[in-house]
Amino acid sequence: MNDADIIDLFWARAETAITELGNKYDPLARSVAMNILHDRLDTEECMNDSYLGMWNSLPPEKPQVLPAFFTAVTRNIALKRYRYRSASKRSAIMEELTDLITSAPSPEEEIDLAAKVISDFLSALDKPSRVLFMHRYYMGDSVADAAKAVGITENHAGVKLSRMRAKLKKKLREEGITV
Amino acid sequence: MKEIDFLDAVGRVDKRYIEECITYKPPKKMNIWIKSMSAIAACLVLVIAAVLAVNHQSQSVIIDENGFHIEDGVLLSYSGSETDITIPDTVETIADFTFLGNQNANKIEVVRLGTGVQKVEVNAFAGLDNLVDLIIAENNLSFVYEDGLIMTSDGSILLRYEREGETSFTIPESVRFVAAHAVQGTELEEIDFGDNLEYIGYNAFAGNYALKAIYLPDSVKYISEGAFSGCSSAVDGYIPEGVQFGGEAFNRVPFYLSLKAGRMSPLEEVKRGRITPSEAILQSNLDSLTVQLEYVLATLRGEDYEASDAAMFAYGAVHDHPEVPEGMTVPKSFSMEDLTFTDNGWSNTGIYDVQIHLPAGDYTIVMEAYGYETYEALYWEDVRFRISKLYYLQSPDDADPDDTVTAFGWTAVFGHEGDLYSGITYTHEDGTLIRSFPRAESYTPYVLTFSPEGTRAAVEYTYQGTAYFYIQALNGDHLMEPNYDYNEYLNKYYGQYEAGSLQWIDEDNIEGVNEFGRFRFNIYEFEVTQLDHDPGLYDPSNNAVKTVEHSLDYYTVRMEVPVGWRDQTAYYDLVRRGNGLNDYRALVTKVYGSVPVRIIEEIADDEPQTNANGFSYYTVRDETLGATNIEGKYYFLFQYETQLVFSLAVTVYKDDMDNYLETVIQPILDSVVIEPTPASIGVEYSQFQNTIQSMGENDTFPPHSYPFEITGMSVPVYFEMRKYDHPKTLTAYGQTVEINERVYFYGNCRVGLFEYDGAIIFTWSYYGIGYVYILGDGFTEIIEPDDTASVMLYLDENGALKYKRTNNHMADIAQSGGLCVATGYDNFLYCIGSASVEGGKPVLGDAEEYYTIGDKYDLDLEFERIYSRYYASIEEVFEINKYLPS
Repeated sequence: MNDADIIDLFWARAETAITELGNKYDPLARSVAMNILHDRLDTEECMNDSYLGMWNSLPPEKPQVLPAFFTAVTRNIALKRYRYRSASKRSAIMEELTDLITSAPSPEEEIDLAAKVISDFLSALDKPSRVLFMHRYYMGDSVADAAKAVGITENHAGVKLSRMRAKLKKKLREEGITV
Repeated sequence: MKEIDFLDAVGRVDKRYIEECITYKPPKKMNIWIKSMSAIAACLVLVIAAVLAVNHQSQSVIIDENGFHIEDGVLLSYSGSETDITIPDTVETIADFTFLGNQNANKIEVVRLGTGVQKVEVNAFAGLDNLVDLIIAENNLSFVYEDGLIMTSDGSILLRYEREGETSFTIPESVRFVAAHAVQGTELEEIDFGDNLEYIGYNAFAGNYALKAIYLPDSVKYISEGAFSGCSSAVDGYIPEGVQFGGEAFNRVPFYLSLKAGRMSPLEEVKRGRITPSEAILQSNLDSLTVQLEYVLATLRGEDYEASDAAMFAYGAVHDHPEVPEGMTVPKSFSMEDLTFTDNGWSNTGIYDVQIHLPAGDYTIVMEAYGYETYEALYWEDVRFRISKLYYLQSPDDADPDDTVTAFGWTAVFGHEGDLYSGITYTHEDGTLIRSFPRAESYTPYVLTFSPEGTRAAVEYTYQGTAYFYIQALNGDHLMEPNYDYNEYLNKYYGQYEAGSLQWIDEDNIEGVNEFGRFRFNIYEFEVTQLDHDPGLYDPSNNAVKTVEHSLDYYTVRMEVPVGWRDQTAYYDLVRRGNGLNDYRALVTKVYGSVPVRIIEEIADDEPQTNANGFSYYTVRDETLGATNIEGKYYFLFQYETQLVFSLAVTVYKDDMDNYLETVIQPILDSVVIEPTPASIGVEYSQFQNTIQSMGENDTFPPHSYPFEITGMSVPVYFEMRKYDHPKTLTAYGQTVEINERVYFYGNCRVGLFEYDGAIIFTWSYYGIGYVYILGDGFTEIIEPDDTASVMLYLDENGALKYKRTNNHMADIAQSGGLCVATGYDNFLYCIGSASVEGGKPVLGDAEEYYTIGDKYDLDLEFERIYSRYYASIEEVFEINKYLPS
């Protein structure tokens, strides 16, 4: 089923919308959740909330790119969940990625400013580098998976990512933001 | 400096970039340009170094080469990636939040202070959630270590609590500040905060699950973020007036919720044991429960039901529900009186708190629900119980006696896969009912053993050749799910054991915390012994090995590893961490493409060694690791003829046995066998092998081309290859077609070249099928790809060769009686001359066998994986698909 039809189903409040969405994009969104939560049960709950979130968002939303919207919803829910969990549970699995999640949500203006700096930074990159960055920090893929997504070696990806981080950190610092 | 959550910020970038990321397809690029990449890498490093050098502001601001940012003797931040950190002696003061910005903060295990540091600010270590050791030089007079506590010498700051096994703790009178993470995640049940405490640091007391009360003295002025977060047993407490607190300081703390609610909060009631789940559910948000139940029932009745947003809360249970069996009459409506509730006990480890039973004809509908907002809500009416699991039970009398075990008042009934509920259902004489996770993980019998006092059951099963067990608590408290770590531990060191040999040891001697069970059991057959020491990483008396096989792109690799070592499905990597019970994994890395660049360069001039089976390999040791517990990291790079095929990465830890490499690793290396896998049909593998070997030679300017001849076809066939070894044209039957895509004869692509009925057909797939090129006597045809599952070539009524899409290979064979199929998504090719299907299996007429790359095509597996949910048999699939449009 194509994305436009799925969105129509949501707008028509037809429950099959969720089934169709899941058939097409569940693995994608689930992997984003799992990359952040690293826990089967939490991911399960997160996905439940995520489908609910989609149901509640469409309408009024009509996403241009459905999988992007769905993963964004899932990601936000997963981050929230992780934050709740992180202070009270010593997770045995701490990947570099989740080290970047603070225990409390950050103030809005600062986040927006940082997002702008990051967007500007990304706009100056070539497409593969940008996609690599997003796979790692947006989708939460491991370095190996992110490398695969853009067709380069894992080692090359690691090097690229650490340079991008260093540059970005510097730019953020200039705006008075630390990460 | 404002500190923000990086991932949050990335989430808000220009959404074009999010969309771009999701829709991006990588160009089909080879990844062998190792030499040139490293040159570029070197250049960039120089550039960045230059940029950094230029940015130095003043003499007193130093970012040293280890990542310490020091200004006038104050350590402001750390940007290195070590997990064992030694603070330079030029640092006098470590500032608040020095580590919070570091991405690896959670991995930092050891921080060492020499004699230079004199002052550590209270939140200096904020972010170091997993700090194991804070080591301060003995002659540093600014700090003392006494009786398990690390404090400043004047006793005013408690930096770290290191006592073990204590259940109560009195903070010394001298302490006015408790540092970040100082007393985090302990098992303390009581803490006396003294009378002089003023300032509590970031996550200072977070995660103390067992802490029963938090009575803070009036001297407290400030409580940092997360200070008591997760102290979910603290049902009593006192917070002085006028105290300031940071975000989530009392997250999930029962007495705090009650304080805000003005009465006993749900969490407090739960923790005090004053309410059972069945009582709670009746006080919870009943509207939410009612609409969920209506939604469930309407779905089971098969009605078209428009679920409201509130009803959708039960979506998880509904969308996955088992089929309604015969004999079940789903009620048209219900009232609360029809429902009975049984408690599973309060828990958030996967077992749901309460079961809701609703009679339905010969069956009972069971819905398991849990309190969704119990840890956060102020009032029960704000708590929604979320229906999360739905199944049906028949009377236990109907269970097959062989699948039932009775002991200590419990009856355990084993479900089977395909049953309505396939886990183990335990019912007690008093009516309590508890269930385990579904047993779909295992296809072998379970063995069930009850503990002597009847409060726990051990379930043993084997899966993929390795024995596992898990412990089920029967008092509803916790479901002890198979904990990855401790199953690993037991399987690792004692190898496979026979299910049924698990025996309970006297309760008093069971070690560890109940929650996830660090139980020691006898797992040797026929012998009851009790372990009294921590086993080492390798049990020399267990020499059993197993053969593991892995298919890489053009090769199959086999080797023998100790039986206890566990495989991951897609890759192997010999990495282990010496953390005792946790984190033992045995994995093996694949594909030469992921070997680090510098290692390739290093070995360029070396001589390889040869293993016992005649395969050569290089050994490279990576010196750059900083962690103190690692002895070394080794790469063993195996070749097949002149190609690097795969690498084994092995990390050897300091507490590994002596001669670990010799005793454990060398036998594995010697057992390695590599076999090439044929790449396509009708073409000798060595043809493609030649192509691979010529790579790099053809990487010249101006590009030159060369012919690549294919043998074994009934007519001459050849490709003209161009720069970087892509085919430019294909010639057969005296005709030439342009290959208008970048086809790869290596890496992850699958190539098919075969003959069928007077035509040479060439196609390939790389994460999706490419074009199909057909050359015959007097005709050529090029068929465009579609990114769906399969392509089928067939002869239409005029005898012309056509192309169509199919998801059902076998049905199409049945229809057309002879065809040639290439598929991309499941990476196999098969070619059948005349063929039909009988009894669900292909029957080959005069055709060649069907071939696969990688695994042989398994019709049963395909049916099970894809169709069995919807069809009863493969025959049904054919029937139905006959009518699908092409």
